[in-house]
Amino acid sequence: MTAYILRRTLYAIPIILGVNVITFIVFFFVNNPDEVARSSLGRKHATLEAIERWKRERNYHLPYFYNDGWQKEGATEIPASGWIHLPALPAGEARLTVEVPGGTGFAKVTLVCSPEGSIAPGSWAGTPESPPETPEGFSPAATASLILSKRKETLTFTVIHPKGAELRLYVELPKDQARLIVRAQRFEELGPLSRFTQTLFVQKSLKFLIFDFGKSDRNDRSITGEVKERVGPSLSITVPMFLLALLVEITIALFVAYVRGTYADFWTVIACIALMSISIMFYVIFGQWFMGKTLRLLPVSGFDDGAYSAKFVLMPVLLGLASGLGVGVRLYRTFFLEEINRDYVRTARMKGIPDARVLTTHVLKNAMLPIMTGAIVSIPFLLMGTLILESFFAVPGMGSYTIEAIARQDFPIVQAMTFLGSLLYIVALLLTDIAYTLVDPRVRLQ
Amino acid sequence: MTSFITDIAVWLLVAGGIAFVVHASTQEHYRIAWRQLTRRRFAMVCGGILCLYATIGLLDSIHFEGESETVSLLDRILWKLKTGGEKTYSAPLATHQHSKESLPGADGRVTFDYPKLEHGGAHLEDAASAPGDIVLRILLGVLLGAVLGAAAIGAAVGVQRLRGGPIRTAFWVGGFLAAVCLIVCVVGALAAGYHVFGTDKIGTDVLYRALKSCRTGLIVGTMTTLIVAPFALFFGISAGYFGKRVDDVVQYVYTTLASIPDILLIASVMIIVQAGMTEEATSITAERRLFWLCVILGITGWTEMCRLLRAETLKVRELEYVTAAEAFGAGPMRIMFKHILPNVMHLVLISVVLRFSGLVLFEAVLTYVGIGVDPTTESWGTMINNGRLELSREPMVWWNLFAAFVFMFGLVLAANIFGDAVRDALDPRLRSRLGKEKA
Repeated sequence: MTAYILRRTLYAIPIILGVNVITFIVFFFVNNPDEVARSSLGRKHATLEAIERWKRERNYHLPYFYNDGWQKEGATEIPASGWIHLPALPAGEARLTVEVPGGTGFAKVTLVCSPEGSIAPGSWAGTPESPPETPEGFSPAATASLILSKRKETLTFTVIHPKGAELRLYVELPKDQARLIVRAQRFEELGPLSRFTQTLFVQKSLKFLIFDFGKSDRNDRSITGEVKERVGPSLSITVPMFLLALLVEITIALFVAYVRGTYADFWTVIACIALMSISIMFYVIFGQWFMGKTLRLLPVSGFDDGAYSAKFVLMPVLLGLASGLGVGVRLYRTFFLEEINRDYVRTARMKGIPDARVLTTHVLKNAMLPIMTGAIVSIPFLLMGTLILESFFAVPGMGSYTIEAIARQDFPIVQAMTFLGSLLYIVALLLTDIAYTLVDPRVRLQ
Repeated sequence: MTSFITDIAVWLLVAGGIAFVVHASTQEHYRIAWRQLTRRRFAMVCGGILCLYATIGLLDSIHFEGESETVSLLDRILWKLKTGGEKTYSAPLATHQHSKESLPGADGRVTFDYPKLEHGGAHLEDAASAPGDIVLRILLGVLLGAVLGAAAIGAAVGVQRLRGGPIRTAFWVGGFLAAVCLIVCVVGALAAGYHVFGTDKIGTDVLYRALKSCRTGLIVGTMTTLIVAPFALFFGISAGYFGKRVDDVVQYVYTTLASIPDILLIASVMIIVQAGMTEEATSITAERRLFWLCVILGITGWTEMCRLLRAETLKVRELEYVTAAEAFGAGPMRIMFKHILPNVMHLVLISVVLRFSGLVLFEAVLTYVGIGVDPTTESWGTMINNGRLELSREPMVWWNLFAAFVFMFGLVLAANIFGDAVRDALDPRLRSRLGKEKA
C-alpha cells in the first residue's frame, strides 16, 4: 500500500510541473509581456520607453528560459536626423542595437562615445566610410553605410567604457521622417545557476512551487500575502455551505431512496432537474432581492470579522445550498439506488431488518465511499471560494480577488490563482486515492 | 449574404447532423435506441421544445446585408419588434412608459406624467381600452391557435393512418404541435400591438432580445463540444488502441489540462483574446469572440470526452471482430477509424446532450465575470447581467430578468430531461460513471 501511495504521489509531480508550464505558456507566449504592458499603460501612453520602463519595474525584461548575461537596459524610439543624444550607458561592457526601418537607398550610421571608451561593430558588417565630423569631446567613431532593403536592418555595436559612456548617434536616412529604435543591453557575468534562475520562467512561474506568487501588476502588494488574508473569508462561506449541503442532500437522497418508485420519488427527481436548470445568477439576484430588500431579514451584502460575520454569511450559504441542491440530491440518489441492488442489501432484508434501518446503516455506509470521493475533490473549491457568490455579496475572499483581477486584467494574480487552483485539485485527487486505499480493501490488493 | 464565422460553423454542424441522422437510420443499434427514446413521451416533448429553440436559432443564423446593418432572417420575421423600440423601460403589455417625463400639454403647459408609448398600444384610440383589447387579442390568438392546432392533430393522425402506425403517437405529436400553435398565435397576436415582455433600459423589445439570445445559447451549448470532438476522438481512440507510451502521453496531457480550473483557464485566454481585438467592436468581432469562446470552452471540456472514449476503446479493442480485422491484416489506422470509431461514436452524442445544459448556464456566469460573449451580442447572460440591479429600482423592473429566466429555464430544463433520456437509450451503463465525474 505504501508503494502505491508513493507511486501516486510521484505521479502528481509531473502533472504539477505540466500545469506550471501550461500557465506559463498561456500568460507569456499566447499573451506576451509587451502586450500586457501596452494594455496596462493604455494605448495612448504606450510609448516604447514607457513599455520598457514598465517591464523593468516588474522584472518582465528578463529572457524567457536562458539568460546569457546581456541584460536589457531600456529602449527608446527617436527620429532619425543628424546627431542624436542617446541615454548614457552604464560602466563596463554594453551593447547597443539600432533598428533601421526598411526603405530604398543608402543609410549612414555613425556612433561615437566619450573618451576612454571603445566601440566595435558587433554582429554587423557594413562598408566603412568616412565619418562625419565628430562632436567636441567625443572619441573617434564606428561608422558604416548600408544598403536598405524592404526588411528592417538591425545594427549591433559593442561599447566598452570604464565609467559609463556618453553616446551620440549620427544617422542619415533617405527618408528623414523615419524613426529608429535603439535598444541598450548591459553585460553582467552570471554564474552557471543564475543563467537559468534569472529568467521569466523561473521568476514568474516556477517560483509558484514554493508559494512565492510575486506581486500584482497594478499595485505593489504581494499576492501571497493577499491570499493569506483572503482565505479566511472564503472559508467562512464555503465550509458551512459544504457541510450543510452534504447533510441536506444526503438526508433528502436517503428519503427519496426509501420511497423509490413512488410518486414522491418521481416528483423529487423532477424538482431536482428543475432546480439544476436555473442559473445560479437567478438564485443570487432573486435571493438578494427577496431576503434582503423585500423581507429585510438579512443584509444585502457585506462582510465583517469574527462572529459579526454570521449575518452576512447566512444568505450566501443558503443560496449556495439551494443552487447545488438539485445536482447533489440526484447524484446521491443514484449512489444509493446502486447500492440497494447489491446482494448484501438483499441478505440484510432477508434477515428481517427493516428497510429504513438497512438504508441508514448498510446502504449509507457503503454509499459514503463515492460520496466522500466527490467531497474530497471539492476541497480546492472551498479554498478558492466561489466567484459568483463572493462577488455579489462583496465578501473579500479568494473568489472576489480573482474576479477583480480578471476585470482589471491583472495577469500575475490570474496566473497565480490558476496555478493554485490546479495544485489544490491535484492534491485533492491524491488525497482521494489515498483515502480509497485506506477504506476500500479491494484497491489495496492491486 | 453575409456569413459570420459562427454561421458557417452552425451550418456545417447542421449538415453533419443531417448526415449522421441519415447514416444512423440505417444502423440497427441506433434504431433500437430511437425506438426506446420514443417510448419516453415526456422526453420526446422536451426534444420537440429543443427543436423549437433550434428553429429560432437557425433562422437567426442566415444573415444578409440590410440597409444599414447585417440582419438575419429572424430579424426580418420580427421586424416589427426590432424596429418598434421605445425610449426606455415599459412594463409588459403597457401603453405608457414606466417612468414619468415632462410633457408639453396641448394648452402649452408642461405636465409631469407617464408618456404614451410610441408603439406599444399605439393602435388604440383611448389607452383605457387596453385591457379589453388585450383580452380580445388573446381570444383571437386562442381561436386561431385552436384552428391551426386542430389541423395539426388531424394531419398527424392522417399521416399515421397512411403509415399504419399507432394512433396514440399521432395524438402526442399533433397535440404538441397544437400547443406550439396556440402559444405562437397568442404571443403573436399580442406582439402585433404590444410589447409582450416589455422594453428594456434603451427601449428594445425584451421578447425580441430573448428570441435573439436563443442562437447564442444553442451555439455555446452544441458547438463547444463538437468543435473539439475530432481531437477527443483521435486522442481517445489512439490512447485506447495503442496503449503503452501513447496512452501515457495522452493520459498525462488530459490529466494536466483537466486539473486546471475551467473558469480560470477560460478567463486567462479570453482576456487575451479581448486584448487582441483592439479594433472597434463590430458585429464581426463580436461573432469572432463568440467563436473563440466556444473553442476555449471546448478545450477545457474535451478531457472528459477523451477519457470516456479511451475507456470505451479499451473495451472494444478486445472484441473478436477487431481481432478478426487484425488477422486479415488491416492496419492500425483502418482498424481505428473503420472498426472502432463507429462503435464509440455514440459517446460523442451523449457528451453533447449531457454537456449542453451546463454550458448554457455557464455562459451566463462567464458573461457576468466579463469573459463571456461580447456585451453587444444578444444572450441570456447579457440580459441577466444588464438586469441584475433592476430588481432594486424604484419602481421595480422585473421583466428583463423574467424573460431571460423563462427562455433559459425552458431550454435548460428540456435539455436536461431529453439528455438523460438520450443517454439512457444509447448507453444506460454510463449513468453512474458520468455521475461520478460531475461531482
